[in-house]
Amino acid sequence: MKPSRPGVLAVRAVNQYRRRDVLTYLSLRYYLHNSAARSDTWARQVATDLVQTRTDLPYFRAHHFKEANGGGGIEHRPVFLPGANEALAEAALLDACAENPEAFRAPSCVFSYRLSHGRERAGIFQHYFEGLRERQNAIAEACDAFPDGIVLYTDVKRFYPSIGTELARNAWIKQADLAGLPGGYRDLGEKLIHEHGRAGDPGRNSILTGPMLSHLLGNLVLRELDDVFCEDLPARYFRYVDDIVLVGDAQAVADSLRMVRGRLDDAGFTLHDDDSPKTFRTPASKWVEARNDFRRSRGGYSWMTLVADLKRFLLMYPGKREELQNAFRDEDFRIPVRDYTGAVHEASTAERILDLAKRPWFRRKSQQISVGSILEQARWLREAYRRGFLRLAEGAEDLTGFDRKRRIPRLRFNLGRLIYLGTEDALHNLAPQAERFPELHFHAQIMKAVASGNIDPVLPLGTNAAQGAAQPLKAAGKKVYTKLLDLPEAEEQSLAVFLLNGVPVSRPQVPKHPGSELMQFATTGVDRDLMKSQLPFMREIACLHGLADQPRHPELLDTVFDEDEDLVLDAIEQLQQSVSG
Amino acid sequence: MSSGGDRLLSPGLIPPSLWDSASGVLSLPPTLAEIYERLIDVRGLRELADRRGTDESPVGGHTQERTDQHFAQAFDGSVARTQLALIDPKNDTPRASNAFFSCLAGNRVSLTDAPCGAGAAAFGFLATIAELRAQGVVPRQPLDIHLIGAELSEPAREYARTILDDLRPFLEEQAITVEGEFVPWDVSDALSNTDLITRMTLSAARNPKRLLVVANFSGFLARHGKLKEARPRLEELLRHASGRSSVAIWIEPNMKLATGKEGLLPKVWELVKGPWQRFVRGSAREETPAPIAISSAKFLLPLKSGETARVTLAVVALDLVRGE
Repeated sequence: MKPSRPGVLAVRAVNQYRRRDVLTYLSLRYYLHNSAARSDTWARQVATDLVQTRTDLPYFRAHHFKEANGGGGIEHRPVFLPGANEALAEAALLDACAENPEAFRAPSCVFSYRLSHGRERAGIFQHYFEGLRERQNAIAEACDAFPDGIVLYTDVKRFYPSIGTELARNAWIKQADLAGLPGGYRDLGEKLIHEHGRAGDPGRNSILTGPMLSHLLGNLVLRELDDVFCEDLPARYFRYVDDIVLVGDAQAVADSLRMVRGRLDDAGFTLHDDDSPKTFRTPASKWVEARNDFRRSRGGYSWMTLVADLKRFLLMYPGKREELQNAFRDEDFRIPVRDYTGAVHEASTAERILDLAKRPWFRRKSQQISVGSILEQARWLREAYRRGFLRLAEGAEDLTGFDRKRRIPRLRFNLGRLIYLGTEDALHNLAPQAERFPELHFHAQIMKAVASGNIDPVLPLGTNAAQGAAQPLKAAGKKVYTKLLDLPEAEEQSLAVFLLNGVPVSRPQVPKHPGSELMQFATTGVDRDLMKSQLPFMREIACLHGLADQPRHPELLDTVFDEDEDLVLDAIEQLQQSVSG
Repeated sequence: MSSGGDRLLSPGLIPPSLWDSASGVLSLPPTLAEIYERLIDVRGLRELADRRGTDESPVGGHTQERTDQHFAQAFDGSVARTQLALIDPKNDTPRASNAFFSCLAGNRVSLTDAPCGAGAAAFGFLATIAELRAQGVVPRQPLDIHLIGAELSEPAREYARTILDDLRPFLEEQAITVEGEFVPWDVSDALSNTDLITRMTLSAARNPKRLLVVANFSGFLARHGKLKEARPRLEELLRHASGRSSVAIWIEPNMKLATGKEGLLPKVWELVKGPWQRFVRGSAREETPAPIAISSAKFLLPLKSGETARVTLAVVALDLVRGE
């Protein structure tokens, strides 16, 4: 019997971790390949119980690119990736929290990490973009209210690493008791917090950056302060993860900043100093020019429409996948074309399409979508983004403060999409221009790698950058190479990501031994020894994969888990996830 | 422990290698069936197996002869009974099925099978879980079992060791590691019971989840009038096994000795509602009659191609939790 459609919790976990890192995503896919494990019942009863009764700490310490620090140096963020079972248990736990909004919903002035609820499947949390857009609108309204005021941006230093486990535990218990969370879930949260402290880097005893629970905890530990800041500050207060914005008259903003800084300091957090580049002000009258920065574009084609049509096309015509992929490659596009066969043949999807087909608008729309229509959109957008980037980049290196803060995301917006749409020549030409901006280092190195096939610029950056390059390279069907002989840990992890994706990599010499267990997992598959690995994360993922002469990773990454799995474009998403914490 | 409301293994997901839904026939886990057949032939027991009657199954005993008879004529039925409780294709025993899956989904588990005989119960559900993993039904989470097989008959313990050795490679392919010890146990002897409890306690120190399986005991306890004598030992066993994440599953054939008005399981349930209530709990203490789930099915005889026999099941799932 073909497995039935997966439960909401499985789809949320898959979508959420697809954006976080390919390793946990792969682990989840192997776990959820098993039919009984896809139900919400399994997540709520088995996955949670397995976390409660485990005796090891199955986290993988991945190196993620954080920023280029000038002078060629790279700063990494250590990200502790949970295994599949914990990811699923988290989905169940956070769903239980979502059922109790009075305890777990952040105040209205906080726009990040809002829990999904009901039948929402986009992730454990609602898509980050919605929060960003709402915050933009809220700041705009505040500027309207204070037309002569100022907007101040500042930032909490090292937000997640600053959250000690004791602080997190107290906040968790308080809200869990307020919600009357069933004992099992309350204890589960406590156990996870305790294990964060054990699993992290020695001497830290803070919650981990990586698991989704940490984002809820980040909101909980600031809950009391957020409540006060929302209501009682002289200025208006807006928070997105560790970014804080204050809007009001100059004196009100100054007083509010002093209060916020003091209260955060008392709680163990530190705001950037006034003279830090992360703290800057702009007049409200100038800020309002940015009010529509997050609005959806009108006129012409849009990225959203392209992606939506791509998915719709593959749902309706899964057998035409190869045709579309070849058409993309013929025109030097490198958009991933995933296999929806497994998702479409399930009864619920087929029934839905039959039902939709009765409606004129669907028939009209489905008749309009073709390989040709998708290519037309891609060509139009390719040119639009190329011109857009050049226009925005001209003279922008000298921008500072708010002007720079506005410009950089828009540059990234164009570059991220050009990595999938731009010709190799265009990427080759644009990469040096992108390199003039330290904030665009991530995209510039990916562009260089994609254009040239030499992945050495990307390897040192970490697994998120590697995935950002590996995905378009795989879609292009391109072989790549590295000249590196020695592979420190970050580089080796990155190389493993290329191999997990099935990107053929030519190396100066083939090593006699696969190296780390991750590299073995990526290259040669799973043997009995790997299934007994002393590293709990590797043991779990190896067992879930099972004994095989060849790894199954590339074929799994090519297929979708469910029709509601989002098409994640890593060169766009991976840095956003890093920026959002 | 799961409530048994929603099934963790929906019957529609049971693979054909274990259950033919069209004909309603169980198949023993293929690997275990092969091992069993091989051992029957190695030990020259085929003829004894062919003499299997349709009357009551042999109970076993501590001599080689009685052990061989039980092994040749009843082992497969005992396996099928456990398998029926685990996969529950007819949705008759959801609570027990869920309890098994919750216990055996992964992590470190202390599993005591008492009395274990030749290991029909323990190997029945371990091999079934492994087959479900091999067929892509349940995930291959690392599962480390410390198995304590407690059994009076040394010949039976020896069969159990041999089967485990042969089964181990298949289990390990499915990420199930088993460290097994088969120890002598006489339920009517206080010292023997103490030794078993000591082993269980030591095992529990390393393995946070505990599963105690009591299977096919009615023949000995009820038929031979041993329940009264064994009751204090059973109480000790359950009491010492109780704690966090501890479950007991009691499996018997559905026959008068086990499920009749004066049968074993109703008597056990009276103890659960009464003097045992501080450390044992069923689905609802007040439930009357006792929450004994009943099922039956045909199963393919592993030694006679194409032939089936009927297996009946009565099962009670108990939470071994400390109460008021």
